[in-house]
Amino acid sequence: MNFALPIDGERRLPACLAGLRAQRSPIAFPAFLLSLFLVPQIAFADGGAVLAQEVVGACRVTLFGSPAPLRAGPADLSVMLQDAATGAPILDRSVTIQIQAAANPGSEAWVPPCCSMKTTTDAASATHAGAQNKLLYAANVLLSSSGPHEVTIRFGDGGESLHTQVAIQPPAPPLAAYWAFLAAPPLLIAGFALNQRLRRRPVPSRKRE
Amino acid sequence: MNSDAAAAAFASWKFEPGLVAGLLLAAILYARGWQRLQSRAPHRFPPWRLGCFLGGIVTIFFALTSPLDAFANFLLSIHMVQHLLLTMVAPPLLLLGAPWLPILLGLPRRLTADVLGPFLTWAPLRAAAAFLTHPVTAWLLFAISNVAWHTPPLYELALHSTGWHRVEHGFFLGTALLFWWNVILPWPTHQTRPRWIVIPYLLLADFQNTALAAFFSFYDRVLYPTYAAAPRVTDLNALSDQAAAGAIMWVPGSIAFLIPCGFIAVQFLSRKKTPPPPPPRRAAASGILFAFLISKFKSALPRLPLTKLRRPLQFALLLLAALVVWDGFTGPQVSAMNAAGVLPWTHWRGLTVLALVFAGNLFCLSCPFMLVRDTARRIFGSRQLPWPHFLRNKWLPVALIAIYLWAYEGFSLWDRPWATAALIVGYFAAATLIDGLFKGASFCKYVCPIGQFHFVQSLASPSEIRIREPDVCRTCRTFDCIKGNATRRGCELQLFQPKKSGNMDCTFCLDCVSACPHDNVALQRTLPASDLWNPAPRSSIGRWESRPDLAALVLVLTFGAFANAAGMITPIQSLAPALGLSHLAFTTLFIAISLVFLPLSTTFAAASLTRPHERTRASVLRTLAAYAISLAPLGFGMWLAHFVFHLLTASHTPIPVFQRLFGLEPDWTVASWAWPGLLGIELLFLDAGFLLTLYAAWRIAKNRSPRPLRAALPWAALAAALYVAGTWIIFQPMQMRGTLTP
Repeated sequence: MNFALPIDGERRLPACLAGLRAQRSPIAFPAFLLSLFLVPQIAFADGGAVLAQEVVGACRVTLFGSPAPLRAGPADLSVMLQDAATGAPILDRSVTIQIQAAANPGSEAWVPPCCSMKTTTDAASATHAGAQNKLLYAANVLLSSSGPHEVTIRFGDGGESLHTQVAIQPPAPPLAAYWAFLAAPPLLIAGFALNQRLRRRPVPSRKRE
Repeated sequence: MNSDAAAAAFASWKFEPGLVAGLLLAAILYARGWQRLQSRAPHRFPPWRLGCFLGGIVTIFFALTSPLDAFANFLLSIHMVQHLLLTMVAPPLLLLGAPWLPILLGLPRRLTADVLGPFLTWAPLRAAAAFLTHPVTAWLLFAISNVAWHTPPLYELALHSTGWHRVEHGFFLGTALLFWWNVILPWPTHQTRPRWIVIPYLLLADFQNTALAAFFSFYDRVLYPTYAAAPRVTDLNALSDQAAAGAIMWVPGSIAFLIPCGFIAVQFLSRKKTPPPPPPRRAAASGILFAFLISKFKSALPRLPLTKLRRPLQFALLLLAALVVWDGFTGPQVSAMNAAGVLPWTHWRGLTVLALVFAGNLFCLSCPFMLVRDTARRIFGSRQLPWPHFLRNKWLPVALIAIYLWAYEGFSLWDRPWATAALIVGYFAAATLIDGLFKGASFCKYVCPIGQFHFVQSLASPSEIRIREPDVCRTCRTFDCIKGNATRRGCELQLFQPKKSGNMDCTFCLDCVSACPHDNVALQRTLPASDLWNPAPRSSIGRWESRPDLAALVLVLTFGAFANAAGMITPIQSLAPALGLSHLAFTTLFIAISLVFLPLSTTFAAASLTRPHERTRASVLRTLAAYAISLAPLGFGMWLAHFVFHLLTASHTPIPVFQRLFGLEPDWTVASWAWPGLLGIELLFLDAGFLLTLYAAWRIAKNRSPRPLRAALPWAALAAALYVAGTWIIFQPMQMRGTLTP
């Protein structure tokens, strides 16, 4: 590969490039800032791993959890309801997910600070709006401890429900969860140092042809 | 699947702002560069290149956000379509756009020349690029990536982890770009190898693709447990789905290899003598239209009617302040249920710092306290006193800010609506009294702690008010921008536009903009923080090194940012009982240490270490004042992290407050925009502030020292210590102030 500018028949182009006026973009910098601000994404449940699947009455109920494996801290739980006979998705139910520690939970070390505000109770309402895949009912829950947890999914007016147990792993340590943000400054500093070093290189003198 | 389910399935798009912003940025950069090149070398950059590149961008967007992504965990065949778009469709389209030069030209010129330029000519990087794009390397990487990511352990890893799934997609896209590079040879890449080698290159790739596809099609067991366990959303069972995935990989995949193979074969066989490149033509009509649209967009931005918007904004904020005061005095004395507990401490602070980072000092522009200035002058008459000489500095606001930070924690101002309301009333009274009794904008320039906060933080804003053309000012003899005229007043903060630099002391009042008879003063874009390393004297401010009061202001706001955030975290709050101190006594001690002892000791130490490396031996105090200003972006980063945290965690809290104020039944169970990624945003702000501080310190050192690295090192170490402290604070459990939850 050669990144050199073309020479034959394109003599005007390099001159044109060099002659471009130094213009500041009205949009590039705000767009760059905006992209920085928006880089971390708003979480949507996307299914994740299948935690349980069971036929309850006329419904096949599948419970998904993300991240996989589930860890103490914020988590997405999603439910898919299907007609047990035909497999057709059922979309018009009211679904709640309740999750509780089965045994005495130990005090867990760390969850992201914003998640220490309990905006959801133990019983979270799962909706299509909260899910990326609109065939699912999804809810964000805060798992405050690890160990075995009881999950109860209630769906429909008839009090139908699915009970299951899931294992919650200890939370990921903060440095492991956010390492990319902490690695950025040293990497950029190293890049800057290299940039300065390269800029101080002596310009090689051209040989006379 | 019935029609409702199908409709739901087709509605399963993902909102992924980071991806959208990245793709949008790439499209904008390419379009800018293409527009420039199109006007100069239209035969090289015809409109179809723009179309191809944008087509590639749209393909990536579609692959990663459409229902294809939502169902990738349910059906292998859908997942295969997604991967084919990323490997067989998007990369060729992107490369057909010949993106190298347009993107380089689309970037800001300084970024291309100063930042990327040295790397682009760096021999090891060029060698690495040559190695990666060598046909053998590119082919092997493409094939290995294709096979490796389809092995069950890696595929399952990607299915279960969002992070690994992104890595997988990155590999697919990256190796495919390298692979297709040799097929398309995007201009201005030279053809250095015989063209015919592309034919076996493509055929061999098709062979490995066919082998893998056949394996999927004919293997009699489900390869990936995830698809075996997934609920069936179509009539296909897991094994049929796997076979369908194989067929998709086989047929469309082979077509993607064979079409270019045939095209190149025909081209090769029918090739005659290479024709000379066609002469440059006039730009196509579409290019001219595109340039016209871009120029219209550019010219529309600076012409926002800010001067007309200012008064309505001030009145709106005045009304809001009146509401906050009324509710603070008469409403429930619970911060989360009162407008005085919610609006000023969470929303106003958060929105103003976001305005500072994305636009500029918009709060001072719409400041309701400035509305009272004219009223006060009518009350007190026109015989105003000059502001006392000994107070013409920033020491008074420095003291006021320190007292405020102490009172905020010590008396929990954020949790006392009544006190908040009293503070606002006191603020209006002080502004009325001072601006009524004294000339000019004495309150803004020498007293207002909020104004000083905005002055310092706006040093890192992307806009400033400055002159357009220096030549116009050179011929000006009326100096309306500072003296005013019969209809408009000049700058009351004594900033003379031709000698003004940066945002310090500028309230964005736009008086100078209105007063200039030549329309030569305007709100313009600037490189954030560039004023920090400008050694020239500024109008009404002088040089940074001659202003220890400004250094003190920057230090109290920088260290205050960390102290203020630390005040709400559990480890600091638990210190008071551990030390056997009352809350007020502990706060006093904490503020004394963090706002007086630490700033003084660390900056004097840093200045003493820097001084021996200075070109001219200035006093320690002058050295300190010159460098302390570089800490402003780091402090701003911490304020941003802190205030944005509160803004988003308590985002919906005004809703029930307004429901109560307007006689509706309030629903106190509010939602929140808090999510795990919020911590990432906080770290990002802190990262940006830290890096900008390091750069500013280095640039200041370059101006003042023959050994800039050694001179800047003590300040870099101080900034690093503050950055570590800030990171630690951000990771701690925090009080959810302004909410009803603990």
